[in-house]
Amino acid sequence: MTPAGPTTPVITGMGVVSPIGADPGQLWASLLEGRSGVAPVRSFDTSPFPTHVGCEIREAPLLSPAAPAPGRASLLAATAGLQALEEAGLESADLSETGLCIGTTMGEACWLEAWPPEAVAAGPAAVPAEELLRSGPDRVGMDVSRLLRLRGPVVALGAACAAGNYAIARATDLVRAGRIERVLAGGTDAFSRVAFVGFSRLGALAAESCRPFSADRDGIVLAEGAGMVLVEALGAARARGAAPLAEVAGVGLSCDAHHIVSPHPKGAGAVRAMRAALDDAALEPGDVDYVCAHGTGTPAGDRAEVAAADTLFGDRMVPMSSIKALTGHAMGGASAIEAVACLLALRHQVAPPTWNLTAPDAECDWDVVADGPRPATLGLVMNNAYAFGGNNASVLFRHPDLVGAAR
Amino acid sequence: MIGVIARPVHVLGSGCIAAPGRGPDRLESALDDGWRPPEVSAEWRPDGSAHARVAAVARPEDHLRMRGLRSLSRTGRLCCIAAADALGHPDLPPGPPERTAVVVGTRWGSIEPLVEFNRAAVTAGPRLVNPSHFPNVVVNAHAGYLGTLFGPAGPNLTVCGPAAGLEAIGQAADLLDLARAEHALAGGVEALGTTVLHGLASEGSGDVPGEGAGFLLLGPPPERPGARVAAWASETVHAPEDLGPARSRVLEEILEAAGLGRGDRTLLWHVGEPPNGAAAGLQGRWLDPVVGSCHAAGGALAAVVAARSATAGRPSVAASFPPDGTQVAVAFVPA
Repeated sequence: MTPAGPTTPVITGMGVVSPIGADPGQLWASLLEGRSGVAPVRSFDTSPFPTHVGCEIREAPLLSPAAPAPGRASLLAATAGLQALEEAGLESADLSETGLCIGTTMGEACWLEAWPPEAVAAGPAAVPAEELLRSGPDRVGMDVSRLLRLRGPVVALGAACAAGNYAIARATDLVRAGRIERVLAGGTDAFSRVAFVGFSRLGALAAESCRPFSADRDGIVLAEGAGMVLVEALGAARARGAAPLAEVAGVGLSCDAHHIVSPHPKGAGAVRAMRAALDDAALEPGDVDYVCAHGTGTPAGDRAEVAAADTLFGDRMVPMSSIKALTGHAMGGASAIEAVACLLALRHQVAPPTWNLTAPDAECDWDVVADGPRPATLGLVMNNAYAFGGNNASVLFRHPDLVGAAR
Repeated sequence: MIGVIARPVHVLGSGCIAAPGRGPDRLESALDDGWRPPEVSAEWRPDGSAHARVAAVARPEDHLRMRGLRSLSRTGRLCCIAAADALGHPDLPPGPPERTAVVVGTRWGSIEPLVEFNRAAVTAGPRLVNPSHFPNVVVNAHAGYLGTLFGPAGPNLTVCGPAAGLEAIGQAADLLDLARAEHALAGGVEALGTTVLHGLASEGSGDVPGEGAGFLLLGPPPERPGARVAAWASETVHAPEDLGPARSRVLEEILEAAGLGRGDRTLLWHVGEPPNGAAAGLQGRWLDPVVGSCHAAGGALAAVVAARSATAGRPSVAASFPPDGTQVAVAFVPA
């Protein structure tokens, strides 16, 4: 067993804005009580679509900065980021060397979606095209950094529905390698009509609800939200008296190299990401106590995810659940919200359940936690995320009492 | 922020395409010859007045004969041209695919597909949108296509921003330094289109818009002498008055991190705004007059020529100094 070192990456703060809770406490209560964020879409007319439900955030008190007003994805992330900084006990004077790693799917689509239809139809000369030049993921990063008065480096990553985990992975590498002491990391995306169109045309939107791993599942419920965590070097955290919420014990990234939108049917890339995270942590599959699944509720995605779990864990069915039945799929924000759920699971020693699993699926034969919140001894939890492009990312969080174990 | 690359991370291959043509030789000769982008044809002047010159790539589709390209956007195709050359395609890439990473940097790589997708949905209705066009609106699709078309199955990342091409090379070097991969295909890409050109015209910077792609294949030491990545440095700037000092610091830090002194006759290949006198002591070569202002692609193109200079025995720094955001430099040394 190798003791933890000064650059061991730990989490010292977390924040979340989701359709079922505007902070970690609300999120956790909703996860345990089964409070769903699914409702009829309000932000645009869904009459041309076969699906009319989504998970929009309606009651969260978002930051309301002075002009220039950032886009909604930035506001969601900044609001969650502020929570994380506050929990970490950092004042604005402490942020001069705090970096930001942020992941999104496509940045701020809100500008484009606000253009009048007649202008869109008329072509680029009729729209304020310069708005788009300032709408990419890097602009989200710069706006969040500005809103939170972070003065460190900004890293913006595009990794679609796994973007939050990718950002946490990069932050982990930067801290562990001693490049920087603390990085605010996470993912965000705002509710998007373009995304609604795209997933609808791919036949991926559920008609009424998200039912991960259930035999009658029929797709995702599109959502929005952000999750942010402060990744900090253990030495720096200890030096200022901050208590870790968890250690980022390992991260693993891979690419399916199979298909641009469809997962590998056996989850081969997902297996490699999980193995890479375990190797990174110098741990074995048997050390994992709970898996927070990507669990989108698509037939192919859930089937591939269980196949991957079966390959990695074999006969030992590690308890697994998906929170997307309640939160919906917040795309770039999804895995970051789920990272917060993992930290809450470690804190409360409870595996949150998968709601809406009413019809067991023989192709998803696994210990999917579906019978309510399950108290458990959780020392190591795994957060999995998969995305367009075959991008896979697994992150391992270890209980703070075990920081540095087996490294 | 500084990254000193402790492991030997070498440049094993390179590829690029930009307005002057395809390949590092063509780019170098264009830089040496003082080549300039021609006045633009009507294709790039949809309103007849936007830009007098555009550093566009002529007929990128002529450079690829692979299968499976139909769904790719212009960004994806430029990416594939440069990546294929860096990989030595159609030869098999070195090393096991699951240990080969892909890191792509771009700023505007998905703007045109996003606008077109939205226009189709608005004008024809969402039920008539081609679903195969949806992935291209997601900015990591281009890196994903490199995985599906060429096979690398290791970490697959997309970095976003005006200097993201160089950031991508720095991140790739980190992935190898941290043993997350054995090889990495890393670079940057930007593609022009009417929306980007209109947006740039509205901003009125006066820059010649450019597009292109540049990629390096990084990996363990080869048998032949070449170049290795010694270090990267970056700094994010939030206020215009901080740009000059930040660039000076980035250059000072990269030289120190790479162990380069004035006696090393280090070359500076840079894109974006000039380094404001901070490059004193470095012999600078500015790529923008040849390749245009092509953001994430520009830094990667600078890296391609910097790596070749280092291979030829001259320590070189590639720097990307955009007018806002993250400023980046990567050092290549003979090895």
